[in-house]
Amino acid sequence: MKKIIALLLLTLSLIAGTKFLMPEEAFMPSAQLINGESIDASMKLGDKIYIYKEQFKFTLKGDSTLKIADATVKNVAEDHEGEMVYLDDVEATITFSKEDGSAANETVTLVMHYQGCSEAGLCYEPSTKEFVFDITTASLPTTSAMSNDITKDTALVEEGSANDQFGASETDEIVEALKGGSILTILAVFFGIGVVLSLTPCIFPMIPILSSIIVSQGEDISAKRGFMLSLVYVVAMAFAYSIAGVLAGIFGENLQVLLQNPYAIGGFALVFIALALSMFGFYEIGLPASWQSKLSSASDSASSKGGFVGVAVMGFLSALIVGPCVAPGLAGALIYIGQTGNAALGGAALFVMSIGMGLPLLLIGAGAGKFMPRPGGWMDTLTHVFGAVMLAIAIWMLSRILPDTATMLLWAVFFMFSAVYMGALEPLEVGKRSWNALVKAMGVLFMIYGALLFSGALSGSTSMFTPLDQFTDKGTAVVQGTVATQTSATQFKIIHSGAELDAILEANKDKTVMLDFAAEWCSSCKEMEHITFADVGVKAKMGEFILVQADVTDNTDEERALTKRFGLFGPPGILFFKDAKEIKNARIIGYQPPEKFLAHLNKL
Amino acid sequence: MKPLLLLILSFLPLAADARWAASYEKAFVQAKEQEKSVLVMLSQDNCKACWYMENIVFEDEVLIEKIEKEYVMLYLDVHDDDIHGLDYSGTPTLYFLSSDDKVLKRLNGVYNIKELTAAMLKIEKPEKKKELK
Repeated sequence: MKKIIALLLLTLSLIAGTKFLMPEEAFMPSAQLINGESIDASMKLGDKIYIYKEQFKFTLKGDSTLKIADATVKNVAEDHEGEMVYLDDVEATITFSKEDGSAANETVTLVMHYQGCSEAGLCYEPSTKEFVFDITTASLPTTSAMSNDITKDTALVEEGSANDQFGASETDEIVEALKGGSILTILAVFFGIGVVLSLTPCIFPMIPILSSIIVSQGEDISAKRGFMLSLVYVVAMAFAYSIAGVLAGIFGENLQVLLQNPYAIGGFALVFIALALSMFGFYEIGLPASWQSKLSSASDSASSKGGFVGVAVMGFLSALIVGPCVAPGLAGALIYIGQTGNAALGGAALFVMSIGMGLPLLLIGAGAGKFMPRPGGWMDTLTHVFGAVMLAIAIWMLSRILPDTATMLLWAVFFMFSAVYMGALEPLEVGKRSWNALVKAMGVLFMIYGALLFSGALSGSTSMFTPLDQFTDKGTAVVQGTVATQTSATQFKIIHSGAELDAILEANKDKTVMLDFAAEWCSSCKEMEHITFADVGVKAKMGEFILVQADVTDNTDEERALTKRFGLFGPPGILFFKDAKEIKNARIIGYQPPEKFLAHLNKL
Repeated sequence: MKPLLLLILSFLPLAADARWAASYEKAFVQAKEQEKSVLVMLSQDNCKACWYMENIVFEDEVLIEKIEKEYVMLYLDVHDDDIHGLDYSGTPTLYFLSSDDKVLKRLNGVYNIKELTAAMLKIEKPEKKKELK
């Protein structure tokens, strides 16, 4: 039986794989000359083919004196799941304008641009078709009399609007955010990391070096020269780090491969733990003392030469001295860069990071050595915080190879230990309230959260955000491994065909119907079911809807037809209906957390 | 403390997104090292079906686990990337390539999770004997 089903599925998928039209069957463009002066263009579309309104446009090729005056599309574009498209054969009329110098007959090459897709789930290449016509110019208007030509207007239409075709889907937003500002964001984050690193004692060895250069320049050195000197110093240091970044970018794939290997992950985690412990002051990591002194004397001799070159050399060497101290931050950065595999980005990121690190040095330079940050306990505190972050990264790395419960236990331990270090269990000293109280309060929160995670982990929960789900109703109501529709929590009417849906829509015209496409093999459907639909607030709100679930687990012909009817390619997908019609722009594709989903329901 | 946490938090998801190989060459280097094949997804802008494959199908944890056991995943935009002569009549088009660059299977158009899982079962493994799970 199973074999038969499998065979059936394979045949189905084969059919699905081969039934797409060839581009020349999908799009059949044509054009004809009308009265010798305008062109009627048409685009015949194959079965289930549509084209994008914004990609359908006309331009002229070559250097004709004629311009397109107007290209009017007769069809009205329709909203097709958030995209304006033409679903039927498209017809357009193109008119021209001339210049004073135009001949009585001008040959033009009209280019029709188009891009479209098959509803069956294939998008074709943007394509063009050229037509050559002789245009009689006698009765054409002149270009100067016209405003801007239409091609410019249409060409201005931004590309990529297809990306928001499903509205605010969660992944979409993340992807967009990354795509949109990715490089800037990455650089900004690295700069931030650099600034934070600059507040650790790591930067200390550099301060006397830099001060000594500036002082050696004489008593009355100007703030400008002081700044320039420190700028050269910092840029040289940044250059040294950039080399590391470029190398990480080039050899990145090895890092990436490594990161999938349990032993390597374990190893990395150990390195991070070792670094963390050093930040807690258990021991110091650094170059051997003999190397350090050699480097120091080398940079001293460079400084005696004075001038910018000397400063640059020293900046470069300083990076080597300080490197091991900022290693934890550096290691994290390098691993990230390795994953991008982008040498240029790697170099840029580390450059920006070291400029951030050098920021205080620049300030010192500008003050010509007059201002120095006063070292104190806060610097140690910051180092300790870094240590804690290192530990967090270690746990995060281990989470890839450890069972979820074990990871959660580690987090619990992490939060509880941090809480103790933050003084959550110690009395506040009278008269030293403000900051200490804040830290202690956070410590107490950490302690409580850690304890909750601890009990959650011991009870078998794996969720960092709902560690107590094993103790609450919804947790026990969840049926493992199935699309848990039979729970008392949310009662969906299960359907498998369009006819069943139509009957329900017909019978509930006055109510809002929510149609959820789900299948057992769809992970995000399960997430939606177990987390979002199980939320108390969402559950209450969902009570106001007629709840229908299209269970397409078996992928039968009828189930496929139902999915395709709404232009979906498969689950997940949530659609809303009123008066037996789908509410426009209301569908949800992909997982949505409870708060967001509830907000969406409230808007309907 | 807080800005620091935010920094680190914004840092982790970036680091975690290692699903797609960085380039064509790297995908094959990685495939050889790990004795895997390469799964190429050809995509482009203005392609709803591609969006679905990328954000729903290739984000499905169960499916991804299966894929990553045997394939290094590679995403190519037919306009922005060098697609090394892979033929396509539209997008999405999936290619299953052995690590020595032989086409094991080509799939045209959209596949949902179940369809892709089924289609993958039919692909002959390059070295090992094919075993149906």
